[in-house]
Amino acid sequence: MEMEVWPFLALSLGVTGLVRLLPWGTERQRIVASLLVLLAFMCWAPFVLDNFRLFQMTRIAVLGLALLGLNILTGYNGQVSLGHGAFVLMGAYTVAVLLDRKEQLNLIDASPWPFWATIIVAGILAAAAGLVIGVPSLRLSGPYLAIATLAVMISFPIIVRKYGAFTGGSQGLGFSRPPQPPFLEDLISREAWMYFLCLLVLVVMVLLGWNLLRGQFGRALQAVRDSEVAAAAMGIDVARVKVLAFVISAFYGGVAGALLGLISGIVNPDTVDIVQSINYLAGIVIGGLASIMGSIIGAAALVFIPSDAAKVVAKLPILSSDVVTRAPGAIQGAVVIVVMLLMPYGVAGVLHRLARLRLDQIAARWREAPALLSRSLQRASWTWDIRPWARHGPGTGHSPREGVVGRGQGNLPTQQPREDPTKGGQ
Amino acid sequence: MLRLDRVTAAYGPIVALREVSLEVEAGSVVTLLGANGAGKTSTLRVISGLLRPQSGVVEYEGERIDRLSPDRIVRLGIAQVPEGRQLFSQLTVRENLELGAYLRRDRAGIRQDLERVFNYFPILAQRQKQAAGSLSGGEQQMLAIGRALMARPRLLLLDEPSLGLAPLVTREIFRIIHAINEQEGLTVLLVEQNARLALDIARKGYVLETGRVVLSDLADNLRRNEEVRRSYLGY
Amino acid sequence: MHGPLSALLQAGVFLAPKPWDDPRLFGEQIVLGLATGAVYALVALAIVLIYRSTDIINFAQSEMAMFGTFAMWSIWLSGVPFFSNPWALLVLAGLFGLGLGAVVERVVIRPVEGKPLLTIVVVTLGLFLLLNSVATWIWAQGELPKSFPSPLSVLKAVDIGFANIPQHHLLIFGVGVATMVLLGLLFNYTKLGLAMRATAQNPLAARLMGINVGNMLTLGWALSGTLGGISGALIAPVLSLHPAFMLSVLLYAFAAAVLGGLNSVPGAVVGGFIIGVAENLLGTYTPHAILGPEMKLPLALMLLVAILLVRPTGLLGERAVRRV
Ligand SMILES: Nc1ncnc2c1ncn2[C@@H]1O[C@H](COP(=O)(O)OP(=O)(O)O)[C@@H](O)[C@H]1O
Ligand SMILES: [Mg+2]
Repeated sequence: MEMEVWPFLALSLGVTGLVRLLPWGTERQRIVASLLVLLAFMCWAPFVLDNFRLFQMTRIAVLGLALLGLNILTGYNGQVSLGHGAFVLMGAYTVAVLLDRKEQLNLIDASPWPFWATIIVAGILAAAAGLVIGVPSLRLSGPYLAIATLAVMISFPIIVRKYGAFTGGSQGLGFSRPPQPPFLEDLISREAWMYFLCLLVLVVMVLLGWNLLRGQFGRALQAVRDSEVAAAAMGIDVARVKVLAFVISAFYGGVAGALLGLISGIVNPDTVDIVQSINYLAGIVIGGLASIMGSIIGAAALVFIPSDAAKVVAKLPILSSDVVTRAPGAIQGAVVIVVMLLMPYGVAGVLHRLARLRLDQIAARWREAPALLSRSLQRASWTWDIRPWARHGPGTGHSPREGVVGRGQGNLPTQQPREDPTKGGQ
Repeated sequence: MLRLDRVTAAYGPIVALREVSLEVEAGSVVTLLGANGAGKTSTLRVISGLLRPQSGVVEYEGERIDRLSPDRIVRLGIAQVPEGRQLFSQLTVRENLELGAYLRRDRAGIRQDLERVFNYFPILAQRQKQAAGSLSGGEQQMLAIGRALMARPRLLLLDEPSLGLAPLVTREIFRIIHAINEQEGLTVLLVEQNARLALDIARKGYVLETGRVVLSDLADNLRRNEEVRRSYLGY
Repeated sequence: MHGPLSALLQAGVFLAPKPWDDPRLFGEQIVLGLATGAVYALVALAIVLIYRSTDIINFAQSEMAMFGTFAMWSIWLSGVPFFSNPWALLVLAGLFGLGLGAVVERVVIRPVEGKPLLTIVVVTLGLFLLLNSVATWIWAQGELPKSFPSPLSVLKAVDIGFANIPQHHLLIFGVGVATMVLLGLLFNYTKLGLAMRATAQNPLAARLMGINVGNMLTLGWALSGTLGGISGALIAPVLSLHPAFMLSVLLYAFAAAVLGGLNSVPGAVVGGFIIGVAENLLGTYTPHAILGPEMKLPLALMLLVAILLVRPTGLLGERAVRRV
């Protein structure tokens, strides 16, 4: 059975949503059940999607992992980094150096490592780098941190190019992608194996992250983000929490980079470039800050917008197909802007609000649906307004132009309603 | 001169004012009392056009002003000294005062008003070149008032001028406000938590509680009112 | 001593040219650095102007400048009599930037005003993509890079006593400095400039003074677009025109803005010149075998990070206010 990716996603997300919204069981049961349904669909994906789409799904899993790492740092902890790509690139190079024996023959032992071990090493090395960068970052805040991390990201590929003896310079390092384990050889293709590998790692890391973020540490992360002074007054070791956020975030980035290397079979300085690294930030903002689900949605946006946004727009009657074929980036940019206009708090914010409704309520209140939807679009319910460096804007009592109150749909409240942070992860 | 008629205003879901009505007669000092969060600042924001009321009417000298932008309202002669002073702290005292006269084009008049402000607050003349943020709390409040006077308003809105000031300084500032009202006939709407001082210079007062006017009377009567004495005068 | 280090030493890996070997070369590096530094300073100023009043870091700054420069290139080729003059083109570049900045603020930024800051920053990223792609679509059909005219010559050098400097670089420096002086006059000696500074500091109070804060913000974007437009037209004859040609300038300008302090106007100027000179010196006077010209960007950035660690809000930036 073959299926296009969009019907497939519509089907799987539709069924997942149905399970989530049906009026049965407890909230917890609904969440767990819907996630299991989603996982089942994702396991079915390799058998219905073609290779290109399957590879895209694989990349979403990898990117989702990277974005989750960045979201821990930026969304949960409020430290804005434009340099997350450096950790990802580092992870990719770790794998490549450990698997490719041509360049490093005389420098480290001659036999390649088992691929699974390289993933772990990549994570640990990146975490160590996270520590090295996280400690001095304590001194920087807001945009200064953002640009210092951007500096790291810019420098890394240039350094890799310059010292090519070890890294293969501009050409990079190539190696053969790990084959399926013998017992799977007859069952699934190499592409499907790569997909399942990434999916497995993603699921494990999401469970780990969920466990971490819903507990005390997650609360500490967010307390530090909202006010360092208040957090310190509550007895939280602010410096430790901020450095740990960097380390954990880098670990996720390193593992994601390792997978990125493994699925590509080649790693070069362009594997993650500056634009990609900046796009990671865009990804988590679009998906939803301080949200695991938002990270993965953001990854999907980063993968699908370049490949499909133009095609979808081409179907609209208003635009000539010329723009679409010759300036696909224009469509991407426009889509990003429009998404941000419609959902300033990210997709996950909207979904979370919608998820509070039960289908029977929706049925009973369908007349209000448009109003409800538009309110959901504009309100943050659980993704907060993260203002890493704002003096102006909501919460400080005024947005720059409007003085005390916002424009548009009446007067915006200055404090976003906050919910129990434990609901953040799902 | 100024009339609010059943004004209701909200910040998103938070309703700050519910059907507030009040009236300020030309040449008088009227005070608006109330605890923290009662809606005093919101009332002034509505008058200045910073907060758009959901319903109700604000009338100034017979004209509706509740749909006007803040700069139009300043032009009509209403200046506000906001809560917390809101100075341009990195600009000099002189520049702050010049900004008060931002909408005016009459150079001679501006120079005259500058003299007038320095007359009321001689200390500001000495500190002209200093950054506003480097002034003491009392001097900052004087600058905030001076800045509002530079617009040559006919109605002055004062939001808690005593906030964070030593009693002596507060008394001095109230003395000057009183003097300005007496000498120039400038109308003043004074928001205060310090009811005692406010009622001393005001002709009449309104008491706000959770966004509603719960009392309004002449200042003398309010001072004698049991409720007010207990809640706002502290005896 | 044996081992790899001595082998490297003998191979002369650590050898670098010394500034005193050739004083003229040194002088040239300094002056050229000041010239490109002027461009970095202009773009850094553009970033700082917007940041100061709205807290937004505009990532699309480079692409707005690039777009404008390509537009000027088209006008130059179109053979409209007056504008085939490169001097006129330079002025027009500023005007085009002015308009573009104002339009961007009104059309793209205003609708997200009051939304979370990162949302607005991401909108500027979207704008980056959009402008870059449209420019590629319109202009990157034929050969790239395209050459851009200079009012003077890029190749002919002038002897300024201690160095030979291409005429165009002197022009960059002169126009850059003149622009900054004009901007300084506007901010410090006009009522409009005072109103803009007031708005940047305290928009709420500015509204109470009767200042139309919306117009001030638009004007800020317009001015910043002007600076971008001028810097694009100034640097294009050197870098030649390509859809990505302003990107590295933007990165250096970020470095300059942060070095000076993101909310400091003089800081942006100082930062721009320091980064421009440092870039040249690091490229010339570090051992080429292990560092050298390819490494000048990372070196400059590492230097920047090192300085930031000592002064976390830049050289002239105000201390960050702790939010409680
Ligand atoms: N910018 C704002 N956003 C949301 N709510 C506000 C804002 N300003 C004031 N409020 C709310 O409006 C009510 C009245 O506040 P305010 O007018 O400031 O009272 P007062 O000046 O009497 O202390 C309070 O409940 C306060 O929480
Ligand atoms: Mg108040």
